[in-house]
Amino acid sequence: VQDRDAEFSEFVAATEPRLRRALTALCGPEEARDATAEGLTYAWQHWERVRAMKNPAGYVYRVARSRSRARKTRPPWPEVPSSLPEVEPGLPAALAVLPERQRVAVVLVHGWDWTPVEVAQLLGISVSTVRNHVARGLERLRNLLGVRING
Amino acid sequence: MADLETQVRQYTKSALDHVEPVRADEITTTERLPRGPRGRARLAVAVAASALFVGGGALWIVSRHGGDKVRVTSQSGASPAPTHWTQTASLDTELSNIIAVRGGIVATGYGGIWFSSDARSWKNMLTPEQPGGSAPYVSDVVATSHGLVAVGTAAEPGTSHGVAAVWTSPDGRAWTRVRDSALEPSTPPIPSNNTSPDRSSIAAIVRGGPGLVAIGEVFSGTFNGPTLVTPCCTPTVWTSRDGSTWTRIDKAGDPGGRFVDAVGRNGTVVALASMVNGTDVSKSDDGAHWQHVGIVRGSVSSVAIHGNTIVAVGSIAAANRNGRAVIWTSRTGVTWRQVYAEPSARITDNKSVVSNGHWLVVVGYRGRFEVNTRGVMAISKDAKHWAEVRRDGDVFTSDAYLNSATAFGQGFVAVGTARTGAGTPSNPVQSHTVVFSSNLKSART
Repeated sequence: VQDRDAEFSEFVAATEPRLRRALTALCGPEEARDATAEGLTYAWQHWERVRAMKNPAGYVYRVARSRSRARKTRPPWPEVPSSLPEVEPGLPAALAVLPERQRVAVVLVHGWDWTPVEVAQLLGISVSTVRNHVARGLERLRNLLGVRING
Repeated sequence: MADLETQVRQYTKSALDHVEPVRADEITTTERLPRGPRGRARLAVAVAASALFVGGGALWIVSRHGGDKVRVTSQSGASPAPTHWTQTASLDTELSNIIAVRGGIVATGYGGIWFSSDARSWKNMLTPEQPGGSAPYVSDVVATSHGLVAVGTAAEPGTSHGVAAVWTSPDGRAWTRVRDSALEPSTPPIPSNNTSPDRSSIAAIVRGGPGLVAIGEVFSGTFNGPTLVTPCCTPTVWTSRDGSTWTRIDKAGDPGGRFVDAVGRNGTVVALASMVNGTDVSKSDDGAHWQHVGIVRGSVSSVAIHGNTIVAVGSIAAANRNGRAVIWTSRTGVTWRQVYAEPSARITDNKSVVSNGHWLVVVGYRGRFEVNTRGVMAISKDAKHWAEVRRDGDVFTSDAYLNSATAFGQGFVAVGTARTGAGTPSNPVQSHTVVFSSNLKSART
């Protein structure tokens, strides 16, 4: 049991920060911790199976995504802090209406500086698909916000 | 304005990067709880910071407003205060909604439909057909002059996707599924390997309009390969005279919304739909024509009528990003007044509000997150002053959360989810449904 605990703890230490940020991008900060806990709890419950997977972090992300109640309830995204006058006030609402994968790709790549390869590994999709999601997500954000291509 | 990529970076670092990490030991000592009812927003919440106690033969509520003491005369009145609760049943199933009907109580959820005449002995009356992907779910029941009508989501023959489902019963014991093409609309294609969206689903049903009004949604999204590239569903209303034949009113709500609950009063239905920035309130006299009348600045999970007041419970986002419990009231549905806001930094979740005309009962849970929670309950006579129900400080402590309550006779019955076990491989956590009752002796059975 101790080996199992230690192994799982290592997995959490290595995976949780990425998982939490991806789920924050998916369902917003209000629900992200719950979703992260849901995914990791599933991993703990099915650890023998999860540990043998090729991409356990990606699998846990998909479990958390499928169980996230935010996909149903769509909680509001936090307002733009007043300390950021350079940011469009409508950005949170625009992010909220993006398709899931576009939002996750945009926030991870441009918000947290992930590489498309890192995003692709977690989402279980190709790098080119990630790039497409980022490009289309930015394009849609520009349309929603009325932002000109050159800023 | 900065360029868009910079704006995303600044917003992410400033507004999104504060979620507290989840530690491994939080996971290994607890277990995941069953999910809440499908289609019902589970929102953070409202439990009064006040205390309620019994002393000297009289019930006192210490108000959350300045600590004023309010003497409650209900001990000798027709409707005793629901302050004393006892567990009356434990069921190895998952039930999230409970409704008193003629001759008994009906409880519904992923476990189908269960019936009891006394809140103690329960029997499974219906197990819905299993869709290939998602679990069937019985979300709500209403009593009519013809009998009972239950709604939810069940199997669509030949596919893995669920469709809106209606069952009728003369007595709560024998149930028959209604087949009507209005409940099973044609929708855009859903990839066979994607089991997430149901083709249609019903979240709640109330009396009103031509007889019955059910609220839910129909899949209207577009897939690009396995990816859903547009919002999945459109708010939809179904109406019926008797529960046997149905008419569908497509696009009854804002495309970005999701119906969460409704109440009927004098034939008029007030429906609430969760939106990105609040909860829309709409009214209809016939179920077919809807008028947007107001907005609640928060996320509403449940709504009830108490006298001349509409009471909604839900949450707003707190400064610390946890959900902050809120209760709102409204006379007309147009303007809403926030009458309570949870001061606690803890995440709490209000799941249901019910009134018996004398008392309001709100149930939910409080905790850091779903794997570490306990049930909570608050009561009020006037919808303004709320008190948390405590019984020796621990009546609900072993229970993950309380899901729903119903007025039964002169008392109340509540249903919740409890867990046992330490959450270790040798002593795993087991979840089951628990039933609590208050003033059950005076209930008419």
